[in-house]
Amino acid sequence: MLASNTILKVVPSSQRCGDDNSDPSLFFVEIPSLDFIQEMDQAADLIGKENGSKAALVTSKKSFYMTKVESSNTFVVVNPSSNSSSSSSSSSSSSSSSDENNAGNDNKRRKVCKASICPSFHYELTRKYLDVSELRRILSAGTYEGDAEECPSKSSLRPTKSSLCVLLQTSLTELEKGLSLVEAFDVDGKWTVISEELKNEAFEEILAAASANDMNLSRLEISSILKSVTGDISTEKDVVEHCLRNNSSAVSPDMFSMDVGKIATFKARKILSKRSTPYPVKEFMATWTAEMPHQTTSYVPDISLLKNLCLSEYDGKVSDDVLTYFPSSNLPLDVSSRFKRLFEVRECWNEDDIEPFLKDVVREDESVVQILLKNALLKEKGKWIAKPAS
Amino acid sequence: MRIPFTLKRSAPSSSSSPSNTTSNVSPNKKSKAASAAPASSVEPATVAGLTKCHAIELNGQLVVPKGRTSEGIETELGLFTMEEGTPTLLVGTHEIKGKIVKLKKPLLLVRKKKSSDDKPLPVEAEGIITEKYLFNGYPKTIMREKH
Repeated sequence: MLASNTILKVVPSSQRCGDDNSDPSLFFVEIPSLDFIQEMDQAADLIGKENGSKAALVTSKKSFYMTKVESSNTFVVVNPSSNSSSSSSSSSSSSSSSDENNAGNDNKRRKVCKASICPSFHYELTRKYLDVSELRRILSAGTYEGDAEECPSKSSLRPTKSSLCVLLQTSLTELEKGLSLVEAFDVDGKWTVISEELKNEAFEEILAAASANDMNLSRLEISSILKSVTGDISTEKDVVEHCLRNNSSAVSPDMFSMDVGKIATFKARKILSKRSTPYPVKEFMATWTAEMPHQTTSYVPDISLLKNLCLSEYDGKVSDDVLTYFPSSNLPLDVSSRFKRLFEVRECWNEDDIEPFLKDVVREDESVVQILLKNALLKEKGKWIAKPAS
Repeated sequence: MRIPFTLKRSAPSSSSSPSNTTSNVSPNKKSKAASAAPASSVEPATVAGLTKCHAIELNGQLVVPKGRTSEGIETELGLFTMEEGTPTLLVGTHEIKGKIVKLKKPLLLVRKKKSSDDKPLPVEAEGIITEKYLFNGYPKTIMREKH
């Protein structure tokens, strides 16, 4: 607590003072709680953008936008560590020194404290979440298409983790989570994504090698797979390993259990993409089951795996539901462009049907309903239509 | 552009006297801030290792007389007193009564420095504010004795 009987004196800034006589080198930052200080202790940076958009305060685990909040009041701050502990009064003020000389005992007990006039605003911290679609866009600039396609110009488009943190104003922890989500690929310390074609080729060869050698898909050894893959992909060992890791869970550092659901999705994508006409569901299910690796005979693929891969509609001509290939990975990453494309394909969407096609673009701090409310109109309960053009 | 944001930790108290109460509060403990140092204590109070600063909020703008800032002259702002838990500020011939307001969220007092070649240096949090003296009342004009 500030001691009673304290004379406050303004310390003039050695720099030019602000219009309100405030010290322009000082400012306030409002933090969420005292616990936040411990987080800042580990690492904290201010990351600004050249385009003048909001700066961010980034710790090792989280990132926050800094929003300026103005006030019409004046703030005067006393920093005890920059004040002496002297309790004598000073006679250097503009008021008459005889005032103080005549104050008697009271005067002797007065403490003099130097104060600073602070700017009448503070920065508020609001939680900022990684824009995964923006991360994908940045990484796609230098997509890895195989060793034969590599060149210096491609490498120059690939950012390091440090430059990604600055570009996206994000913490290292959030970035690493994002890199895992987009299945980012490390090429000599710089980050990118692998082309769909190369990924599919790698996955196909892994399954072919596992099938040819009758390997247990729940206990696949990396070394065995790398020895067994054939074709052009056999020279891309890092790509094969990357593909295996992203479609499995680790049993041990060198052994993986393949995700049967991901195998099924991969096979479905392959079957549907080859067909230009709608696929009757019964016919598709038979083909799909037959295409699954022989090691998964007890597994029956579930059509719910195809929610973000195709559109399902009833066709009276074949008296069955038909599937049309429509992968969400082919949709624009920009939210408004994505919605435009979705409503070009279908005028009215059920919420359950459109949700899988929006998951790629929903931020961590928002829900699918929130993104729908911003970009579409609710026609009736659970049904959405395009917003009229403004 | 990335600028490091550092925390200026207070030096630990070197006094062995039990009456000098400077203590660092671990942020993991939900206890209240360290008690304020008595007027005669050398070390300032700290909160989570940062110097606890005192903030005074006043309505309107403070106008420092011309010539007192650029010339480096200290100017007396006023006299701060506490009577029965009520803070009072005497600025010139105006007396303003205030109140102590505990902040919902702490404020860090941050200083930015510039090097001689105008490149930004790390910003540093010099202190922390957990409560403020709010003087938003209407000032009362008082007569001060002329000597």
